Amino acid sequence: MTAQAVRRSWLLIPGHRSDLVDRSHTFGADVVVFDLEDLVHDGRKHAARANMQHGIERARQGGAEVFVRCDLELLYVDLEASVWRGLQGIILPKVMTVEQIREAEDTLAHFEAERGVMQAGLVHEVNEFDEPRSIENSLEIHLSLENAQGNDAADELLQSSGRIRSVSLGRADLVMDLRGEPNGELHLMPFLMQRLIIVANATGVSPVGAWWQATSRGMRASPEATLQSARLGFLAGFKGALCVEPEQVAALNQGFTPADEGATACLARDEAKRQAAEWA
Amino acid sequence: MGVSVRISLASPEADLAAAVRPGVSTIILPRVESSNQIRTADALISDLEKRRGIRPGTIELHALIESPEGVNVAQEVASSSPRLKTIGVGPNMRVHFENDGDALEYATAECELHTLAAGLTPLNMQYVLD
Repeated sequence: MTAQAVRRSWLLIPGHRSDLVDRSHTFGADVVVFDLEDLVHDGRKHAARANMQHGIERARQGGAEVFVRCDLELLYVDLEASVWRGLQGIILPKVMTVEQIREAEDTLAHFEAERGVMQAGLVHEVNEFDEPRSIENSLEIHLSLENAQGNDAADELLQSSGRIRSVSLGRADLVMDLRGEPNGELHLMPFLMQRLIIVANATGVSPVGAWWQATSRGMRASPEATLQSARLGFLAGFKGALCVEPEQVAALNQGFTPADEGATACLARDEAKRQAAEWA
Repeated sequence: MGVSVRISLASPEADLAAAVRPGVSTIILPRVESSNQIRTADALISDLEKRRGIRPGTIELHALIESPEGVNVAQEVASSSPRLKTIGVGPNMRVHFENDGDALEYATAECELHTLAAGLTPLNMQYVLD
């Protein structure tokens, strides 16, 4: 139904941070990702899940698409809390096997059917509920490959489900799994990023990531470093990147906007967000 | 400090549904006489863990062997589930052996042997849960 949305900035918001969840429509992100995984301590999971239904509505008021990052081990309860109208898809972290994707598909299908949930689409482009269910209007899956096994099986994993539309590398966990060099650089990272871009393009999935540089890097980098990493990531073939600080959103939006005629879609996206904010 | 719950053999489904909750660390299964009992409990617990937001494998099992039939299958029981961490002899064992000291001692040792051979912890509960 929708053209592939412009998704330059994916802002991760810890699900239990009610203050941030409540302001999630004000940050200008193309995609708001509520986290139920690593940013949320086990003792706060319950509070985080309780925020999801309201959070999804809230983030949509800023014209953002909404994803929820689930804990693979707690998938059933995370999806039970998150599969509500307005949700666009889920991020599955640390995926290693096709079986894990199958289980996610089954659980998604269960709650979609039970609650009549379909992909939300962009603002003002809400799906009709008598539209027949198809893989196109079912909730999406974004794979985050965070260890050697998942990266090794990237090709097979990305082809395993029609729900998978985008993919990224989980950098922090990769560092732990593959070990950094003494100078702090992860020597495999450029290789893994390039490989991911190739595999993603070959399988018709959108690669998400930024070319983070040493000293100020990662999802908490300064706005300047974020812009530079986004530019490099854009040139390498990434379509957008995840970040954790709201201050990084504008830099990602700018860095992933093409200089040529490709900018038209991005400008339309920004206009859609502005209109949504006015409606809200 | 974890919480253990001894369920009843009469109604394992209902008891597990009530007992498998965040904060509970161990389920004690009494009167174990087959490895199937363990596997059934394991499957029920796995399903409850999933639905209640408990990380898979969190809940441990402690099997109580309390009859000659149980002693007979102790070796099989010891390798029946990765959840199984301890095996013990339960209070009913004494009833079966009518306080025949030698036979009781043999049965207890037999269970302990299979428990240790499987890399688990023997935990005698003959006099604890009476």
